[in-house]
Amino acid sequence: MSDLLQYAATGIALGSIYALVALGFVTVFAVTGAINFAQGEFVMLGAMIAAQLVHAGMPLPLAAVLAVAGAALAGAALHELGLRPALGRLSPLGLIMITIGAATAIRGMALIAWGTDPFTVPAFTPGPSLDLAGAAVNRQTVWIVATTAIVLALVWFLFQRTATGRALRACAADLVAARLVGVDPRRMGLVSLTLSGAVGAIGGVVLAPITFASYDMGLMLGLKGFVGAVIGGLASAPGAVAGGLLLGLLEAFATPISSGYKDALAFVVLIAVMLLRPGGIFRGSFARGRI
Amino acid sequence: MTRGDVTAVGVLAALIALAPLVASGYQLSILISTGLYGIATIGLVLLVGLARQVSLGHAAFFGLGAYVSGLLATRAGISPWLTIPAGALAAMAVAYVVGRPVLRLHGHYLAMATLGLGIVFQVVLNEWVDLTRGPSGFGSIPTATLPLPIAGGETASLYLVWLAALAVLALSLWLVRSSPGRALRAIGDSEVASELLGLHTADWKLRVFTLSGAYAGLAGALYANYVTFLSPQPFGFIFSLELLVMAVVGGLASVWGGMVGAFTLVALTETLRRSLPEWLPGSSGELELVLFGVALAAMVLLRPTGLVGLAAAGLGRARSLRAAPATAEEPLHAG
Amino acid sequence: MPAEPAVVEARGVWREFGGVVALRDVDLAVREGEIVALIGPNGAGKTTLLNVLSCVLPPTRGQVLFRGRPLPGRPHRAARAGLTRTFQDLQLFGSLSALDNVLVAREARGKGAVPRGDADRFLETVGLARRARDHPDALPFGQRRLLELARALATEPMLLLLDEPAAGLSTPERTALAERLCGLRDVGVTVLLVEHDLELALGVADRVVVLDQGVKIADLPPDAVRGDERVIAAYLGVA
Repeated sequence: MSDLLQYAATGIALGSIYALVALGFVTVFAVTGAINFAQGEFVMLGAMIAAQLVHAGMPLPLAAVLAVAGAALAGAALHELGLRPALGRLSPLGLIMITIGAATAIRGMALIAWGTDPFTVPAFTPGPSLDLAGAAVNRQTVWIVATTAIVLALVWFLFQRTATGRALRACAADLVAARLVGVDPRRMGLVSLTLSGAVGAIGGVVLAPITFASYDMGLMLGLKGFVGAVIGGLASAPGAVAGGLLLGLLEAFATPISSGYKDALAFVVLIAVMLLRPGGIFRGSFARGRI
Repeated sequence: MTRGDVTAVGVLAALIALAPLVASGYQLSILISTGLYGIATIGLVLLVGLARQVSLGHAAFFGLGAYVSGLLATRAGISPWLTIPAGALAAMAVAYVVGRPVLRLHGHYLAMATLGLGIVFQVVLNEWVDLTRGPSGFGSIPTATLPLPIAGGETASLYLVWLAALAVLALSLWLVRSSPGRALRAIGDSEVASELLGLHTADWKLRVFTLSGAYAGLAGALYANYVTFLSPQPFGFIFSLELLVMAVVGGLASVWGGMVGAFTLVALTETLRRSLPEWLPGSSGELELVLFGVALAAMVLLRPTGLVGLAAAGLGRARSLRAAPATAEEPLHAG
Repeated sequence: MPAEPAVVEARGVWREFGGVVALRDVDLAVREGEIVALIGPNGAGKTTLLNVLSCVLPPTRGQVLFRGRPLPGRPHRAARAGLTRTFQDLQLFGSLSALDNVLVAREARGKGAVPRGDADRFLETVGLARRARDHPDALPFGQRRLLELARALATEPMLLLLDEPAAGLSTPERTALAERLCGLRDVGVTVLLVEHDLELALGVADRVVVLDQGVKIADLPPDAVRGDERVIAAYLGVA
């Protein structure tokens, strides 16, 4: 039983990161129609920038804030330089290629700047693992889950209660109608990308103490976050979060069966969901086309 | 094929035949790589440029061809002359099987499905150690060499690879102008209209997907034959991306674009690899990655018809799949 | 006297999208040799009905019969059986020349490659023979519509479904289109056209079917439609 709880704890932690990445995907997709391949790189930037700053002596909270700001900036730059000139002109394939290109470029720049070695980040509150009902839960894991929950709550608040959030949702639901009421889709695209950069980076910052920060950590995280988003139905924010969590749990429980093949698991699930339930597993439970 | 195409293929064949007389071993290896990747890239051009489908996992077909060919040669002792076609056939068969369900998807879903398949393939290569020797790979793959009295292994490899490459080039050039080529272009332009004229679009898409998988498999098998050592590491998403970049840079609008793109990328990467350490001491392939990314994005944004499109515009002649000047008909354009 | 066989027949067709009902219990029959116009205000479901009849969308409920048999699952089989359509937003093959557009239609019938001359005559019938080598985007809009019509006719269909064939055409072009449509009857092609241009529709049709909000509200000869109260109310909208 404590084993199960152990796996569940790992799964929820992992799933939280996937959920943050998935949320980023859905936000950008719903507002701009583009799949942002660089989503995972935002996580990487958060982790790496924080790691570098901490190693340079900066206190962790400040480093974290700067890391998140840096990634948000990257997101904004991606929108202005890469997406804005392309939207409306290029097909889905073209958009994907641009974001793939951007992701690769970001990864390359990280490689040049920081090399191939992984960097460590100290745990936020160092100490022995906590004992929760027989399962040894890493303290950082608690940070991950708690931070994710707070971020999700803030994002929910943003979407539901602020003017910007309403504008974002309007774009997601009906672009033409949104334009008619004065929403500027390009500005919203910029907002969505900046937001998803920040959200991804927060995930990277809390994840770094557990997994080490390295220049290529973004690829797999991004792809798996995408899988989470698809599981939840690509245009649904709550679905994306649920999908990310689900994927994390699936991977955690698959680890004892085969640790090596578990990377493939996510993609098998992806293909299965796309072929069998393209609206996502929760189709109908969460309204589509709404974030 | 047009008369111009025939002439061009002939000229290319002659150049390749004479190359060993004037080129260094290093330059010959660039030509060999161009031929190898060109075969795979042409397959992508047909799939992505002609029929407007997507594949972000073509490295898997390349790797499949390489591994099937290499394993049959080393484990089962089969002659490389047979294992090379076997590799191509294996890739073709797998493309057929996975293509059926996957091609029902469109746009990003198709892209991600092919991406996923590519990743699953690489994971299998790494994990199924009994079969593939896992991450450490295996070597000593016997090579097929042409029974010609020529000096130097590079020359023999060059001729073998380009024999295949020219055949693929000629076949594809013919295909594009033929009745099946028209059908594929129609489907790429408007699947619904094609379907309603009586074309079984699902079948056609599967055919071109299978063909492009076969090309990639052939290229992979020839690659295994050339490098004689295989490990899972090169056959991942980055390689799928490289193939796509080659196709885009060369120009998705033309079969020639496949060759041009392959050559451009091979030459560029080699140049970078050699000269970067001189310009920026301590660096190696990292800048490559950045340039890749930027090149891809920039190309897609600015010149979706690629280098060939640039040249065709300069020549004032339309010698490509898409004869229309820069309007909304490029495969990367919306609608 | 037995009724003439219907070329295409919709029986109790419903089509829903999520919670939205686009077509509600529609019955429609088009008999051989007829020209039927499908009209109605915006959002009435005309294109949806056309999509269902052309096998592009399955009905949520109900049935469509083509030549007495249920529509096959895949549109290309319906096309091979003699059903063809054009599109409101012109789905021409941009990377092919005008001639090749028609050629593909000829070759799609499953008999392999076809001599180019075979396709030429269809371009001739719409007056585009001189532009055979041009690509669609080099043609003025009216000629693109003609090209799409030529391509559709090249499949030698039994039933031709036209989706707003006059949209974007100038007045003389519309007159010419109307003449061509009437000419189709002489060649034995049955036509169902969705059209916003009431003059054109009422001018060529033998019969007019009116849709409003997914419901068939009238099925009358053209003269009767002009004065029909329900039709007028539908176009003017309910207060």
